[in-house]
Amino acid sequence: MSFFTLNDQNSIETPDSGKGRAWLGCDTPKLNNDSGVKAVLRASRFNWIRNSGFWFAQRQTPGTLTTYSPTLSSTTRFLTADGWGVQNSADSIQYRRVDTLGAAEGGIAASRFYGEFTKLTTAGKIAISQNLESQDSEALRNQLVRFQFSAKGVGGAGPANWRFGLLYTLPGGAVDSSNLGLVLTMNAIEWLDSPVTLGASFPVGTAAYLAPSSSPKPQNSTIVGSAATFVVTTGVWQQYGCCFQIPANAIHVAPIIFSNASLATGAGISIAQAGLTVGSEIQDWSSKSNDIELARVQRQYQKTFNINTAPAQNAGLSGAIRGVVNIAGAAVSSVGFRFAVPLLSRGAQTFFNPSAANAFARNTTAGTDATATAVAGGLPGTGTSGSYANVTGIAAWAVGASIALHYVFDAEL
Amino acid sequence: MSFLEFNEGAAPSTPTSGKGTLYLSTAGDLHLVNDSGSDLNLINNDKTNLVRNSGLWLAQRQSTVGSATYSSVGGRAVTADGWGVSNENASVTYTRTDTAAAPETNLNARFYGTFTKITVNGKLVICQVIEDVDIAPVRNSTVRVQLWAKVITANATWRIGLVQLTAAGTVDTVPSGAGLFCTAFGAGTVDPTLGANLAYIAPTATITPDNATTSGSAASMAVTSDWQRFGACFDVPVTAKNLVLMIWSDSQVAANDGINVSQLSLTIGDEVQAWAPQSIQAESARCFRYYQKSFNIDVAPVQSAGLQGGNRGAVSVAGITAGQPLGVRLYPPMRAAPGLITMFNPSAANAFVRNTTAGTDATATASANASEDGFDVTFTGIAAWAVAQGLSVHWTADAEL
Repeated sequence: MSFFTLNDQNSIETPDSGKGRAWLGCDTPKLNNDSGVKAVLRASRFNWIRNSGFWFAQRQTPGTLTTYSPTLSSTTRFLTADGWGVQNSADSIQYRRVDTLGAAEGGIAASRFYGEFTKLTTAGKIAISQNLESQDSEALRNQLVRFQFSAKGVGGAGPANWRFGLLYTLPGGAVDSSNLGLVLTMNAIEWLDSPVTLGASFPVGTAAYLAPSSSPKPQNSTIVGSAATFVVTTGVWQQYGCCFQIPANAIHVAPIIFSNASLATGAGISIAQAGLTVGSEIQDWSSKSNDIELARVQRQYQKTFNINTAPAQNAGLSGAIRGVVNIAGAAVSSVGFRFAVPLLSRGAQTFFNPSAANAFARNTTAGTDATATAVAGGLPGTGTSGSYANVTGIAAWAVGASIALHYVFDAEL
Repeated sequence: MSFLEFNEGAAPSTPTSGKGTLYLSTAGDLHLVNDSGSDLNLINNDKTNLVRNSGLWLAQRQSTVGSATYSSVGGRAVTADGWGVSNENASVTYTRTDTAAAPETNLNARFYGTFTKITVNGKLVICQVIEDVDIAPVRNSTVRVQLWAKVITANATWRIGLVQLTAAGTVDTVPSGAGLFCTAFGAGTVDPTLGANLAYIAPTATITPDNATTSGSAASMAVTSDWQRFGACFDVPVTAKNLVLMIWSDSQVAANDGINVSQLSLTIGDEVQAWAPQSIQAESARCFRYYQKSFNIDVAPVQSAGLQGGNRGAVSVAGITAGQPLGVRLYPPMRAAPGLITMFNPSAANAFVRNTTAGTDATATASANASEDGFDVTFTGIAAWAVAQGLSVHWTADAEL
C-alpha cells in the first residue's frame, strides 16, 4: 500500500505553464492548471430529495407564514412545502418560504430560497420529514448515503439542540400510501436518544430508525443513539450531515429533522440546501434546472393555479380547465384534463369554483354554479395520466354553455 | 511529464486533523480519505447514462404483471420502453420482475427485465437505439457499455456490443421491419448479420473488458445464475448517426430459457460505472419522449378499460358528421410526431370514440394533425348524437426509434 498525504488549505497559487497542482481545499481534492482553473476531482451526485432548495410551496402563498396542524397532532403529518411534512406535539406550526434574492445570506449563497418552520400557539416539539417514494428509495438499497442540509435557528432563545436521522421501512409495510405510516408519536418529555418513537398505527417491525454511520464522522453533529444531534444558532447558517447504510431490502427511506426538546412559541428552524446522495462525500449542494425540479414535485401534487398562488375559491379564471355543458338542465356533464406529468398515484382531489366561494364548477356563459362537482366514482375514477370532473348543472343550464373549474390533485406521501 | 505512482491497497487510516490522504484502492480507483474519515472515490463513476429505462422501470406497452409475447423475426419489436427484441424464430416473452419484497444479491435496482425465448430454440437479440441528439456528444469518444445480467436457467455465453448507424444511413431511422435489423442470425458463435447501414463497432483494443472477453466485433460474457456486472469499451466513430446497444445470445437459446438484465448504461469515458439512476419521475420523462398513453403507467392499453384518464371532449356537430376533432396534448413533447397513434374505446370493445352522454360509439375514429406536442382525434358520430354531448377516448402515441 502507498499513499500521499495533503494538507487542507484555502487556496494555492496558479502553477507555472505546463504544470498542474493537485491539492486539498475544504476537504475536497482539487486541481489547478496553468490557467488557474480549479477542477474539483469529483462530480456532484444526484440529489434524491425533491424540493431540496425549497422552491415550491404549492399549498400556500409561499412567502406568507401559513399555519398547519390547527389541532393537536401527534400522529398526523401535514405537508407544508412540497415534499416536506411536519408533525407537532402541540398546536401548531407555521411555514414560509424565504426569498434571499434581494438579500443574499452567507452560508447558503447557492440557493435563493430556504424554508422556515416556526412553533406556534403552544410550546412543543416538531418534526420535519420527507418520505421518498419506493422506486426512488429502492435505488439506494445496499449503499452508503449521506443526508446533509444547512440550518439556522429561528427565534431569540439562543442555541438549541436538534436531531436528524433516516427512517426506513422493510417489506411488509405500506408501499407508496399516504404517510406510509411513518407518522410519529411525540414524546411529551425531553429526551436525548430516540426522542420520537414510531407511531403505534404503523405495523410493528416495518419501520425503524437507521443507525447513523460513525465512519465517516458526522459533520457538525454527534451521533447519539439512533440519530445525530446538532446545535443551531439563531441567524447563523451551518451545514450538517451524516452517513447511513441503506439495508438491502429497504422499501422506503425518509430523512427526518426534529427538535430535541420542546420549542417555545416563536422558536424554530430554517432549513436550506438539503441533500441525500449516494456515497460518503460531503456535497456542494446543486440542483437541476427549475423545470426539472418542478416536475419532480408535480409527480405528487398538481394544481391549475400558478405555482406561487395558493389554491383558493373565487380566484379567477386564469389557468382554470374548460369544458362545455353536455346535457341541458340539472344533469351531469364531464370535463376532462391531462396531468402535466403522471401522478405517483391517484391521490385526493379538490375542486375550486373560479368565480364564487364554493367548490363547484362555474358555468361562465350563464354566470351560475353547478350543484355538485366530483371525480366520477371517487378515487377509482381517476387516472394517474389524467382525470375528469363530473359537473351537475342546474335547470337553467343550456347545452354547449362553457364550464370552468380549478383543481388540486394531491398524491403526496 | 511527472506523475505519482501508487500501489493498490486497502484504505489507510483516517489522517490527522487538517490533512487528507490519497491512495489507490484494490479496485484501481484513486481515493481520498479526509480527516472526518470520509472515503472519496475520485473516479467519476456516476456519469450521465445515455440509456433510457436503464432500470427497466417502464413497460408501457403491456401489463407489468405477468409476461407478454413479442415476435419480430429479424426485426425489432419494442418490449419494455426503449428495449427492442429481435428473434431468430417465434417468439419472445418479456416480464418486468419486481424485487421490492425480495431483493436480489448484487442488484440494487428494484426491477429487472426477463427476456425468455419460447416455442422453439433460437437466437435472441436485445437492443436499444439511442437517438442522434443524445449520441452526438460521444462521437469520436470512448464509451463504456455496461450491464448486470443473470440467466434464467442454463449458464450461457451472451455477447455485448455496440452498433452504429453509419454515415450512409438516415438519422434516427434504424431498420425495424422483419428481416431488416438482423438479416441473418448465423450459426452458433457467429454474430448476427446486421441490416442496411448498420455496423458493429469493435471493442477498444487497449481496454480490457469488464468480466468479459473480446472476440471479433463484440465481447463475450459468461452469464450464470448469479447477478454479475459486465462491460466493454468502444470508440465511437465521428460519423456515427445512431448507436444501438446490443446484447445477444451467442448460440440458440433453449425454449423457455433466456436472460435477465438490469442496471444498463452507456457512458462517455472508459471508467467502470456505479449504476446511478435519476429519480423515477426524471427517468419516466425520458421514456415519454418516445411513448405516451392515456392509461396508467403500469396498465396495458386495451379497449373497454374504463374512463380513467381517457381524453375528454364534446360533440361539436350533431348527427353523422365526419372529421370532428378532439385535441390531445403530449407532455413532454415527443422526439418527433408519433408515427403510430392507436385509439381505444374506454367503454366498448372497439377502437372508436365513446359518447358518454348517449352511451353509444362513433362509427370511425382516426388521428390527424400529429405533431411533437399533440394530435387530433377525429371521429364520425351517429344520427342520434347531439351537440355538446360528452366524449371520451383512450390513446397511445408511439415515436419509438
